[in-house]
Amino acid sequence: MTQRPAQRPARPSPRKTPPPALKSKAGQPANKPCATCQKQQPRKVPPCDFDKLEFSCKHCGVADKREIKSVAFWLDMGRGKIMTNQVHSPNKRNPAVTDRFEVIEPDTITVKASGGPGYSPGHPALTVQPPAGRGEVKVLRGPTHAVAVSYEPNWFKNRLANITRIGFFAGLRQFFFPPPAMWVFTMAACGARPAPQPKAFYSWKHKVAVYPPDIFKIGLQIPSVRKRERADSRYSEGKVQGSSSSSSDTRGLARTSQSTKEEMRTTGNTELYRRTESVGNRHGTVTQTQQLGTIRGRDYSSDKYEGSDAPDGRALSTAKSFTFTRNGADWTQSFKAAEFIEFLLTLRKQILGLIEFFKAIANRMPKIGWTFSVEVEVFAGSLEYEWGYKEWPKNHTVYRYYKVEVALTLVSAKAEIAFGLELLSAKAQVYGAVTGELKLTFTREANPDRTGPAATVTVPPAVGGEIGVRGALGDWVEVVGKINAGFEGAAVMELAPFALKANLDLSAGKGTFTAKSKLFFSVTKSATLWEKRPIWSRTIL
Amino acid sequence: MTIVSTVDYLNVSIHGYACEVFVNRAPILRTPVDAPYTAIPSVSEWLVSGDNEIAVRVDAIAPPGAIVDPLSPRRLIVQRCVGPLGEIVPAGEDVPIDGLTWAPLPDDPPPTLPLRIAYEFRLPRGPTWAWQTATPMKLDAATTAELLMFLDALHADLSLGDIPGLLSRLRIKFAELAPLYGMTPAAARAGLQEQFTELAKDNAWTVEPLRPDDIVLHLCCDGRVVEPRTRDDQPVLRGQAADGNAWSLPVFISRIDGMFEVVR
Repeated sequence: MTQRPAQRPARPSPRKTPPPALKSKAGQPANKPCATCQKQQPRKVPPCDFDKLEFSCKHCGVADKREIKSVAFWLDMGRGKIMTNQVHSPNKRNPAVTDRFEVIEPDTITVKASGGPGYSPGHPALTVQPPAGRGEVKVLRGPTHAVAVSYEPNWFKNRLANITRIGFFAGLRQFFFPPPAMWVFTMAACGARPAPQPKAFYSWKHKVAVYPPDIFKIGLQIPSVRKRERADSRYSEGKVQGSSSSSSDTRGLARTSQSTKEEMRTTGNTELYRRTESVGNRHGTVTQTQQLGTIRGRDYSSDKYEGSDAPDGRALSTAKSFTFTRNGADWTQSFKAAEFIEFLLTLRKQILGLIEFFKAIANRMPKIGWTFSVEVEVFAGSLEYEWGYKEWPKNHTVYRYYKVEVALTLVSAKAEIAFGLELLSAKAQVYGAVTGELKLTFTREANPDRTGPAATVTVPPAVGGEIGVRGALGDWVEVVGKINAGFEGAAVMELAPFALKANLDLSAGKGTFTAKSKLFFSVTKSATLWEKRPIWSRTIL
Repeated sequence: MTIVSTVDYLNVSIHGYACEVFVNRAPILRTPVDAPYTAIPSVSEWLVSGDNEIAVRVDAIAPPGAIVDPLSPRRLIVQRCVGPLGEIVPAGEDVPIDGLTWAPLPDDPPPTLPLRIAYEFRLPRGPTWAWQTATPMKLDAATTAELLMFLDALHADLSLGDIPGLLSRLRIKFAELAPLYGMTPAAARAGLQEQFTELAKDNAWTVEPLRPDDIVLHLCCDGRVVEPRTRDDQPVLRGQAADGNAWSLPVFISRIDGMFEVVR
């Protein structure tokens, strides 16, 4: 099927755009009458035009490469239109490419003009305009030309050199489908045709988009490491009594050590307790100092964490887990994984910060006491993503090839809570556990031949757990239905180009509660146990 | 007057079963089949000297595969505990005296519903409650009509905001329960009046109309007590109050000396 291109370049004035015809040896401009003749005859322009223009690359007509022989444009006199044989993707999501011919570097573009009433000397002429900064515009005369086209020289090494300056993530993003180098080809003749032909081909401008040939691959193999923080406080009413403890452990790394120091001072109405715990392995140490002070029943507690500069086993294992290859060659060492490791640690810290969030609520009713435990795992599993440009065999375009195999837990968090608050004008304890897990598990490969699923995968968190409420003995609290509490958010992976975004929030704890009274009226009311707590939202890559 | 400093309560934790929990055949609570349920209702006023019974009637079971979360597992646990009145016993620190747990194996054949699970225990000598000696009832047309008239009187008291009138019909309940829950009957009556004033401020007090066709009379405690509920198991005496609160007044009625009285 032929169709008219969606956009046809505006036709410029014949006197300006086409390269001028060559001068005759007699010094008389070709195709132009001499001064004497001009005075005696009406002006005549000799026929100079072509009927058909074809663009082809080295792969056109080669089995398993490109099924099309060429992209052709021809003048249909009957319709008075320029027709074309461009083939478009059946996938409606892929826009029709009408203004350019797309190739992978290196390639040679053959441009052939044919048919027509003949040419003036030196016509038709092909003007080749390379990408900016890539040399001068060239004018090639004659109906057929083969022009070598290329992508940006040393593009990979130039971008590789930027990584130290722009960092891990931005450095990696440079290689996700860089824009093509755009060459502009313009074939032109005088556009003069003998009467009674009313239409002329005259000139045709077409782009050649040249893409880099590289196939890249990144891999992540991150071991499962669960970090757990726990804190609890216990009080009885009346005369202040307090005890507090906290612990932290990391599972998944060998040879961890732990030391604990406790201090307690008690006066008439003041009790101070201090505990310092250090946990480390052969790569480094993290020291946690927790201080708990109670003065007349109020909780004055603090937590401080200090980490040694030495990389921990987690960092080392993460650094080793990342791989980056180009056309099968390993370039991993060009990337400094520190930024990525820092990102993982920050993410983990943000989730562990839920303890502080709940403690702030719990401290409003210190007499009931509280206990919190937050367990978190970030970025565990594997990811392999391969990408690059490939020519689509069925037409003149290049598509974004990708292949992804992912079984990656972005975040897995579990919060166990128990704390007191005031609910329906009475004291109550909220307790239970909530879990949330953002996990991506799928395999997908680009397929330009058919309409398939979008190159975007969105996964909501898998949530679980249960929150309960209990009041003081006597009158009792009944939950009407279920307390809505847990995690919410989504992980979004875009595949062409690659992008990984995720957000995770602790949703508001809400429910409808009935304070069941033994002697009075029972009262039912909706209440919010805690407000929504945003934890983490960012584009990772 | 003796102020009791401890109270008997049930530690109820049920998920995956629509149940009704009874103490000595008095209904205490109902659980949904599709949501976890935990509560610690006090039940001292239903316990008696000598033989006692705690029972669970299972009316529906969530289908296999509907409950897969290990942090919110399928379970049916009812434990009898004793704890300090007015204190919060943190979750997980209840000290059960006895209780029942039902955990059928996955391969067990499905039980015939409703399924009744119960256990008995003995208690030392204690007070004898008015409901224990109340006249057993049969819900015939005459008794039903009388009960509806009694409910109508309670409803009228509430509609008019006549709390003294209401309290006169709650005499036995206040006399028996106030000491049990650390109050004198007079203090409890004053507390109810005060709560009503709070709930009814700004003329926010409304009472749902009493619709006899929506009332189901549940005969319990071997016919000595009746609990009226709506068809969807709500208290029949209920309405809206200030601050967006909904109020309700569950009642258990017995015939004492020929007269209907609210005993719980």
